[in-house]
Amino acid sequence: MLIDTLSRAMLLIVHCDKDLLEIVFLSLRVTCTSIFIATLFGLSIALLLEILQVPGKAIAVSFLNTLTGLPPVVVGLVLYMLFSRTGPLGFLDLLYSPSAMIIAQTVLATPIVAALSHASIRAGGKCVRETAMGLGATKFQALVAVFVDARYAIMAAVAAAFGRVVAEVGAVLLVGGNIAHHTRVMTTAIAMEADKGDFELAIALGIILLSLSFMVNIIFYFSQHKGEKK
Amino acid sequence: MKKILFPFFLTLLILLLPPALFAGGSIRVASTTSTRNSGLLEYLLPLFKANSGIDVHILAVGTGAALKLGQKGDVDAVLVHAEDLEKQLVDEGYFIDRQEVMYNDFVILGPTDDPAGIKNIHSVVAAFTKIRTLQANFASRGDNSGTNMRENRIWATTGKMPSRKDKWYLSTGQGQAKCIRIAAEKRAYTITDRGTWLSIKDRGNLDLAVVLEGDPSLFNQYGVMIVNPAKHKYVDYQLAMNFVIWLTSAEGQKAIGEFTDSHGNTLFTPNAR
Amino acid sequence: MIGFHAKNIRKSFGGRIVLDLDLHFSGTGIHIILGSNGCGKSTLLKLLAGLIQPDKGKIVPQPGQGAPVLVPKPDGLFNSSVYKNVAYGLKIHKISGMARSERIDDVLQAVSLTHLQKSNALTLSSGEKQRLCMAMALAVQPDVILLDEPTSSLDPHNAAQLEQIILQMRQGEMMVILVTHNISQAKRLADTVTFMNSDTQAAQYSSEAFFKTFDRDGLDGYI
Repeated sequence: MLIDTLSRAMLLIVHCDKDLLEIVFLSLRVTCTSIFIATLFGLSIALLLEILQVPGKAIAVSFLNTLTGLPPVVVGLVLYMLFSRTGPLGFLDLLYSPSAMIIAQTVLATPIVAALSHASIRAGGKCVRETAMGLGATKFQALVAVFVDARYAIMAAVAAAFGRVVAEVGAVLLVGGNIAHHTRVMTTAIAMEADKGDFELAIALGIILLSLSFMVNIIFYFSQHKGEKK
Repeated sequence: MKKILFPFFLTLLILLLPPALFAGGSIRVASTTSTRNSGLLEYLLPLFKANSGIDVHILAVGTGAALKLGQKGDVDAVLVHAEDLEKQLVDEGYFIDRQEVMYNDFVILGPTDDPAGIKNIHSVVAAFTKIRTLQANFASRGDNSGTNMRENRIWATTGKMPSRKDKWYLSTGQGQAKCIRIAAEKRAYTITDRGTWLSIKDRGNLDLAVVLEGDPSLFNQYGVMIVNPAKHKYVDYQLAMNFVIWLTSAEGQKAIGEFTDSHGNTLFTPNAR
Repeated sequence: MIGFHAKNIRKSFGGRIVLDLDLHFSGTGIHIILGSNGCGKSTLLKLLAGLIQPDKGKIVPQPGQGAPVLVPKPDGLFNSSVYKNVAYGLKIHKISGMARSERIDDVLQAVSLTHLQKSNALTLSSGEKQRLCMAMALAVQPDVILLDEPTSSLDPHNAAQLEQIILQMRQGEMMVILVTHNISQAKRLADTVTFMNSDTQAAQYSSEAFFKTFDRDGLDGYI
């Protein structure tokens, strides 16, 4: 029976089942948008941590590292309470929309990008900055050189963040509501279909999700490999 | 620096802006998981959209949760099957314009060999009493859904609610299909809406059968009602009213009656007045 | 005449006074800053490079003089090809096109790294890395070039190779300021010696004067 279900699942994929595609595209849209925003915010935070020399910096870095482990369902819960019509941000009408899901995933992804980028920038940043400035670069140019030099580590950080958010279900379920044709993504669909006992679609989505994770992990691996020094 | 910031925030705004601005109007309706799982809504909503141009976004949660969403004003209308609770909330002013839409029924399932001997009993209250006396396994939704509420009402009528100490009573906290599967595995009795049972009974060698049906207490009325706009000003009353009117119209009622699941079973009987 | 006046410089780190001096460096050629570890010579070099600022006093270059270039350290090389590493300095100084590629080719040849130009800089041996660092600085064709213990981690063969490159710079009309704790190296390369003892003070000598004085008294006692 398992083989039977598996083969029906594969057929759904091969024939590009309409519902399947809709769900996959929404997942990609939500996750890619949030990773894009998270990269911008995350790198900015890493940059700030690099150039600011204030006494509380060590605590801030520790705090950032803690945030990388935020439970997605907790993030979902907090945002749900914020965006609900009875909540403080209810007037934005964001609850149960793809935008809310993007925000939730951005909140989860940003600390990961920030913390991982910062770690590798801190490791090699001082030396690279000295090299650049010794050769006549301005402070800003030296900073750019640090980021460019850390590009593989940054790619690895972004890949890690992507892998984490594309696979989570807690946050997008709570703020998205798994509404058909509107906020239903791969993870929420899998949970729902499995609950209904309709395993074909769940397995088909599961295969796609795994393939996606696999591809991203390959990118992660190669980026790390290229970024390794000595 | 500033040259980067402005287009950045503009892009952010565009990406995040709810596309509701561009649609032909949409409403949010809270309904139950069993209603969604039956497939009725996937069938009806495109018909409604063709008729009115309105998108209906369905949030399928437990009945209790659906009604709460209405009370909080996070949705515009609710479509559930918890008649007493619905009427109570209308009296309390949370909802208005309640209409009856359709009905189906609940059935009691049990292991095919019926260890507790329920098959010849016609009263569901008597059946539940016997299950408790014999301490036969019983799987409950345990999730505040419409089915769960109905189950609790029956237990209440037997004079005693199951307690935590009753090891035969399994409060699963799961959706209907899962709960049925758990009942099969644990050789337990359970209560379910007929629609879900019909949709999964031919799958996966479930050692279950209908042991009791037809008791008037198992009649399951569906009602639709609009969140009171006086309590929540964001409610789109006009569009929600369109939905209520259509569901109870000749066209909507006909569609409900014509709906069959993948096995060809009619799951709902329209009964709007 | 090329040169610097390190005027009334005071620099502290964490409450400890590291430098308290007034020095002149002038003329092309190789100026050695000699001293034991911890005497502040690297700090002085960084001050001359403009990487850090003194607490008191000023570094005054001769008017019209180009900004000094500090030869990078091997652990600060960029994670890209040897060619791109050398190109960086030229990019900063806005030299591009033909002029850029010519300078890179010339300088790679001068340090014998042409055959490795496509290799990743981080995969080079320590001798090759140090030569790359020299190339990065030389490509910019600075008036003043600063070196901080360039041979400290090199074996004798590579160290000798590097010293040859440094000696060639004397012919290139550059001012070279080199920090070291190696007396023999100082003897081999110096035109002038700025001697720093651990009292944050410094005294400046011409090469002959220094080695005549200290050969007599025995340098080992000081370093």
